[in-house]
Amino acid sequence: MTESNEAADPGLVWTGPKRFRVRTAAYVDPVVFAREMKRVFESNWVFVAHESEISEPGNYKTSHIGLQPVIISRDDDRQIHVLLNRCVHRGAAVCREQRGSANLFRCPYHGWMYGNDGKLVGMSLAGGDAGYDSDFDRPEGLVRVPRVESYRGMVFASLNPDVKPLVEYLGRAAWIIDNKLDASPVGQIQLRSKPIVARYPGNWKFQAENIVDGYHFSFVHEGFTHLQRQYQDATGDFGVHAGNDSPADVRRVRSRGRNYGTPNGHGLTARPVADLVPWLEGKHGAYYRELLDAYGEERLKMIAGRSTASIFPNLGLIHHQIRVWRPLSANLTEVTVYPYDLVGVDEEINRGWLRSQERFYGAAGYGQPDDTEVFAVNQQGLSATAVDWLILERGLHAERDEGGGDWSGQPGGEVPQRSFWLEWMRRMESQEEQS
Amino acid sequence: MSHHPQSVGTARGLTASNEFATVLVERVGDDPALLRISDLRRGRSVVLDPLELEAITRMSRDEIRALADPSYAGTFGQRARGEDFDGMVGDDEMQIEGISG
Repeated sequence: MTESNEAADPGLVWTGPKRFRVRTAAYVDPVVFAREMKRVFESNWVFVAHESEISEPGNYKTSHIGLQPVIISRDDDRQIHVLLNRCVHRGAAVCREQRGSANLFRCPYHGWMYGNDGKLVGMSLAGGDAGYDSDFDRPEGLVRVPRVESYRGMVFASLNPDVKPLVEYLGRAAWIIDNKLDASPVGQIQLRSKPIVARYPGNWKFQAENIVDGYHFSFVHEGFTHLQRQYQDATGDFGVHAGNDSPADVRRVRSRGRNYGTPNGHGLTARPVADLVPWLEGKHGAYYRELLDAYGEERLKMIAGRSTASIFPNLGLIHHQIRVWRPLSANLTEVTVYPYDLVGVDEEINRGWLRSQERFYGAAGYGQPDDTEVFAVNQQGLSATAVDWLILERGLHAERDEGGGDWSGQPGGEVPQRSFWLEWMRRMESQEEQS
Repeated sequence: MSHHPQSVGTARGLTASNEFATVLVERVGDDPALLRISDLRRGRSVVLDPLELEAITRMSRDEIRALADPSYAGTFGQRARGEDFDGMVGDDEMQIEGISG
């Protein structure tokens, strides 16, 4: 929870018993941005892939750890490699597509070739007086990201060899991942649909804060709430929303459950359903009864409810999607929404959840475009750098200790956002390398 | 020719393509024994018979990597004929002119 730094110069985050404010520069200053790429991204675990994206030997995808481009590949032995996407010769990106299949990668600049395990296969035109001497110090291959670990198929990588074990890092966030994945009777998800990608002219931290922000909904998404009020379920239940989760009850659902903060900066929301009957007796009752047998009533209430996570620094879980926000500069961010299917459920259920996501998060959906628009408006407002601080003090007076360094508050408060900023501050202000 | 990863059928054969290469595999006429593999980006091709193709099935991944190793002139010119850059220019001057700069 929050310790006071009121006595000293508060720096970028000002904390105290009744104080939690973030300085404008944290969102707009290019110097801060360069520092956070090192301190927040490169020293930390960053989500790079779901295993189902590279399910077969030879599959690869490209991604980023902060600004550092990486390749995530699966070799013949099904081993996953995370490699810096930079030819060791003269620096060109070796893989330019977002995803593909290849046993060999060839640099587009001078044709150096690598195996999909990163090993250098050969330098083109190596011999002769224009080539390499016999005692040339031959590189081993693409530079390997030193740490790679998975949690339930979610692959994280770290450029910091001393980073703490992933499960320890995730802490209570692993519980949110479990809530999501246990909606599959076999506990697995699959990224089958093409992702939705959009950029906004604003800082990446707006998305980190907003995915667990219960406060903005009635304002940013006012249009959607009007539609729901007017048309009730006619805005679409897609055969998957049921009972007290129907669109007309969004506001009530949002006041249930708790928000959580964690020592590693994750911000979490867990909202169980109040009553399982509409689910157990609904259209897909057989599926929910199967889960009831497997997990029991209390756990199913959480699984069928709404669990949302902002996993520090740039991974989100909401609805049936994995979301990644990629910083490009202090005022430019790319958001990728990866809808996932639940493995082992009727195709009709997956299709329904996908349609539901398209309604809200699609490029022409009711919700996500409004969010990215407001992020741009935020950045525009922060051009008024003559104003020092942003205020994140909702619910600060009513935080509750949850043990293990975690704490909680009412949904609609700003516990998850404070959780993010406390870890951000710790990393940005520490004199030591972080793990 | 699209360079996007895909494998598509044509009237004559199958195209395999990713961001690194595009090749066509097809029968040579109606001969049941021979397959021609063509590099559609550079216009080279090779005809292989069943025993040669069978040999590939026995190769380890490392051996296939050695086969693909671009260390010699194979990338742009005659494979293994010129073992250095100068030799390769002599063999394939026209192609080099097109790629320099």
